[in-house]
Amino acid sequence: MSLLELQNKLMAIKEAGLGAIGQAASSDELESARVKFLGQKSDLKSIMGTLSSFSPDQKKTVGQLSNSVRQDLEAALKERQASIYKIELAKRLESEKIDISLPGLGRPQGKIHPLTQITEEIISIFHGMGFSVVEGPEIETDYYNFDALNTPADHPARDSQDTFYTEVDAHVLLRSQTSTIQIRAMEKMTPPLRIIAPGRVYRNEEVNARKYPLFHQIEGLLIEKNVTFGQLRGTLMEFYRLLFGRELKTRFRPDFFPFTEPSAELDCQCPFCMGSGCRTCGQRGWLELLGCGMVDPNVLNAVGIDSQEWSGFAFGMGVERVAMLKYGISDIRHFYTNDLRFLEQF
Amino acid sequence: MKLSFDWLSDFVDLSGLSASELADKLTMGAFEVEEIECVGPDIEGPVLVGEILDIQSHPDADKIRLTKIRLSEGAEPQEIVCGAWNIEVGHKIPVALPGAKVINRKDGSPLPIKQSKIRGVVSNGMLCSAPELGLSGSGEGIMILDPSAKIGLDAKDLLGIRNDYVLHVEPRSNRGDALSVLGMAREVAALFARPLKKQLWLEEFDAFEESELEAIQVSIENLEDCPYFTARLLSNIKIGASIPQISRRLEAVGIKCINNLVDISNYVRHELGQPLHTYDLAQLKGNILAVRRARQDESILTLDQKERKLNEEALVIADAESVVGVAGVMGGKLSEVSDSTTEIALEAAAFASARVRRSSRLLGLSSDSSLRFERGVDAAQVHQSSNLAAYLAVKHYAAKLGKISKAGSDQVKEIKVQLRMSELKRICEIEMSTDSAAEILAPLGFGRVKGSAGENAVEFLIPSFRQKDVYREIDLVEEVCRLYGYDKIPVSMPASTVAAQNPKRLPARIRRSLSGSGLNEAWLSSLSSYDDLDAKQSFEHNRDTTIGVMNPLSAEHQVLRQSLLPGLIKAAAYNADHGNSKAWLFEIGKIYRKDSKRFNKQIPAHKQTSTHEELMVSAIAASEPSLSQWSDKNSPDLEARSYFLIKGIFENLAASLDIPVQQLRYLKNDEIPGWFHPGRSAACYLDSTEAESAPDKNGNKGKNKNAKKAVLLGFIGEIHPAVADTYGLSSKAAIMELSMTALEQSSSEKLFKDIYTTPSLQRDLTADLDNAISHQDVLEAIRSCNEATLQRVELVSIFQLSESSKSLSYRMTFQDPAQTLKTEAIDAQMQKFRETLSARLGAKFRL
Repeated sequence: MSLLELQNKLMAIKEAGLGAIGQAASSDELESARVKFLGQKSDLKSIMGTLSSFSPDQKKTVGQLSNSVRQDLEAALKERQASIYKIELAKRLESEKIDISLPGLGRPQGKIHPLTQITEEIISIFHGMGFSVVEGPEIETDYYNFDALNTPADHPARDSQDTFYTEVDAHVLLRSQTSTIQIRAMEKMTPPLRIIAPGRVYRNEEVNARKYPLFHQIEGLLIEKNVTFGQLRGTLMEFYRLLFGRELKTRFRPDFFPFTEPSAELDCQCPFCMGSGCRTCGQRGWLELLGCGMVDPNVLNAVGIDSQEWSGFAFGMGVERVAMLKYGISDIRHFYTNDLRFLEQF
Repeated sequence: MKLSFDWLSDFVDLSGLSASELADKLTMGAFEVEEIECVGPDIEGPVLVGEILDIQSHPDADKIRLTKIRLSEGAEPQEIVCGAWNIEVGHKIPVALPGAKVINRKDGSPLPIKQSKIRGVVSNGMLCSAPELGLSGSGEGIMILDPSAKIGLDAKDLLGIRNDYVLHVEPRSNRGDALSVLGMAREVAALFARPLKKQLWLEEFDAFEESELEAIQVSIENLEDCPYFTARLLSNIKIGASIPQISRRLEAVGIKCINNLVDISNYVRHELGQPLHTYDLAQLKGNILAVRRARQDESILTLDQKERKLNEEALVIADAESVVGVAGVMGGKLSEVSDSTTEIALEAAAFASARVRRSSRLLGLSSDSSLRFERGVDAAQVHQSSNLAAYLAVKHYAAKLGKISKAGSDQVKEIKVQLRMSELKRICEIEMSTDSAAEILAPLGFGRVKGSAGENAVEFLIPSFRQKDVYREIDLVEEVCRLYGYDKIPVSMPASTVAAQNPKRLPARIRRSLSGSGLNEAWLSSLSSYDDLDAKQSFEHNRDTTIGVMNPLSAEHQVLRQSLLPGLIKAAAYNADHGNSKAWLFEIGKIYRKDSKRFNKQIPAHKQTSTHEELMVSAIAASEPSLSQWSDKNSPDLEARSYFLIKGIFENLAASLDIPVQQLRYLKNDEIPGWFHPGRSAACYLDSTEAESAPDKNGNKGKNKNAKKAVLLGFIGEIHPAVADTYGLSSKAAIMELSMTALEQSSSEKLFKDIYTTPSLQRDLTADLDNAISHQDVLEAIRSCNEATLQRVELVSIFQLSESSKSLSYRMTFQDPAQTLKTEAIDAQMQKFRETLSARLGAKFRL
């Protein structure tokens, strides 16, 4: 083939190749165009394969020309590829539309029990105020449950009506309050100390919407130098602000507990009616939230802490009660029935 | 305690105070008022005394008449229509004028009075009958008043019609003294700084003369049981109804009226806090009342008609022959006052509270009286209480006063307590002078000891009725503090002095993993029935370890649980019964057992219980799980997928707690509890090589000499079909029970291992094996080759070849951190695996 013929042929290949690439409507057609004009068996390849039979001058001319044809074809191919990809992608996206309202797959996440959630929340608030978590046994001796808590043998709180005694021994009972942990902590630790003690307690009471024979308390104890009743008020008011996430009025009402003096009940403005009176608060506008007070000197002295040098405050709250208030639950039995229709709401 | 506003006003001036103001102050002063109840007739507005001037018949009606009523001297008479026929000109009658509210005679509803037209005639009010004013008495006809009644007066005052408010005060366990009108009056006086009123009856009573009736003999066996005992004789008794003044008050505070004598006892108990008892003198033998312990063989028929056996624990009152009453608890039927009684012995005493409590427990009998004595009564008040009862009987019912006999003493020991102002400041941040403190405490009966008041401290004499709860300085601090007002104490935060310890994170991590696996957290009762202690409900549980409750509430709450599983199974069954068969639940909770080995001689016995509480992590998945990837439709394991489901949950949990999953071993052994299907359950160990119990047919299984002690983490598996049947659970549930302690011990520290940059190679291996050979056998055989570059072995598929053989396919991943692995080396290693498997487990390989 003459040089001229060859040049013409290359131009024809270019012409035909550009035409085929330009007309390719899908990636398959484009691929067959690529194979035809740029593949191993293409005319262009075979022309480039015959270069060795030309003189060096001709070789240069043909080589440059065939290279430029190849480059032109490759550039056109790339361009066409991009536009076909765009078209095909649009088609695919259009065809892959689904009903996005169909339900999700997989097993739903299990829920954490509301009492766990509220306990963790309460602990976390006090943890931020420097209180450490301690725990104690549920099976207790009457010493820790009563004697050490300034509740002598003939106190009405010791009636077997209220406390479950066990067959293990006459002095072994199921603790009726987490205050036992206060004593155990004070025996082991030296002041200054700040502890928060969650736990299960037992009372021999008929089951109804408000009462269950076991429930949970969180007890707090702080013993330091120069601790005052005003600091107790400040600590608990801050706690309730953080727990309910807003300012609720509180009031400290004098009360009696054998192991604190002075003692108080902390009432909180009913978060449901904001104090105007509703069913939840029994039209009072106030909800009883926790019992608290300054640790009685008898209790401190009994565990070997000098009550003239140290003073402290203690408080205890019912976890179920707080959860019932916070979530608006009216029947304590829900917590222990473990009905999924209840659990799944938390 | 129910406190009548009207009654309270006998003791303290309440003028200008509303019931709700009183309630608020009491609530914030230590006595919470739970409710304010309005009692008495609901009569309001102008109800005046009028005089009938004229009566005319109605022009259009036979049954009603027109009256002209004068309501004040010189004023125009009012025309009022009336339907009653008992009135005459000149009668004084109560007239309700427009604006007043009286009571509808027919149904008791409120009846507002308005000017109205009756059959064309204007009526300017209503002439009232007794029921219309809330009074008892003849219902028919208008109430005719005393002719001396002054016209224009408020008829409500004249007739003693008034509303009363009853405050429901929450009783305080340490304040027995406040369970009376007098006790509450002291509180009110202190809270409002108003003086207590003088009791006028006292002087009147002193003027009464005692009759010549022979006094009764009284004695006390032991002054510790009863420091003071009195009996007053009263004669000329006529049993009848109480005067309205007494019955109205008793009814207002919810005490049922019985007869004039019983009502007096109740009245005095409510007013002064002192229980009394009356004996029919004619029924007492030997004119004697002795306070003593009961004898072993004695018994008494109590007022509630029950024969009660007594013993030496009970304190009784006896006459010359027999027991006539259980001291402070209940009297005897035989000496009960009856309609024919004419002479009585009135008992007023200070029985020791602990003794009354014992007697009451012994007999299983409590009464208003015993509850009152248990809180402690004021010995110094006994005599006056007896006098008040006698006064009421003499004054209102014409009884004749007899002599009072006394035994023991009503002298109470003197207690003085010092209050330092510095202590008030240290505890409550209250700065106050000694004079102010004394002024605050005076109405409560705390007298300043003469000459004791310095600038920094003052000494108080504690009144007899407060000696039970106030005997230390801190008690006085509290009294001052609450009367000063808790809300006036400045608020602050304690200075930060200690850093908080980090809380335990493991429970939260467990919750996160299990909830992530789709399990909902349950909280179960730790008290259960004996039936739930073991899986067979066969009472085969070990009595040596169970902890029963002495006074169980019900069969469902009589023993502490020893597994969380029965509770979870019940909860799943409950949910299934309520339309939700897919109950996936877990609990982190305690189990309990007796353990005498835990007794520590170094610790005093009263401080230890010899019991053990262990925290467990348990779960139930009661529903059909989806198929695992490797599961083959021909595999018998399809049936047992509950097991693999819970195993997957367990392994996820282990991984999330940094427990090396590769080192977990699943064994069948005798320790697996009866809740589990014996063929589809496993005891889960970490690092176990010693506790092998799987069949070893070939006997060539070498033991690892470096074996560590195996830690038992717990059990997983399918529920035993018999257990499922017992609890009515129809689905094949998967269950798990793990020890929190073991999980905690097994959880390892997080330590980063470098990521290898060399390429990894994979090879597949399919071995045909006898059915008896387990996956774990294969893994151990492969591991025994100790190939360091083998990083991972995964089971890809199981295929059942015949009834006795199966084919297991594994994918093995090799990687060397130091160099690129050579294909030849891996091929050689694979050959070594095949040789080991065929030598140890008789594996065959198809090519």
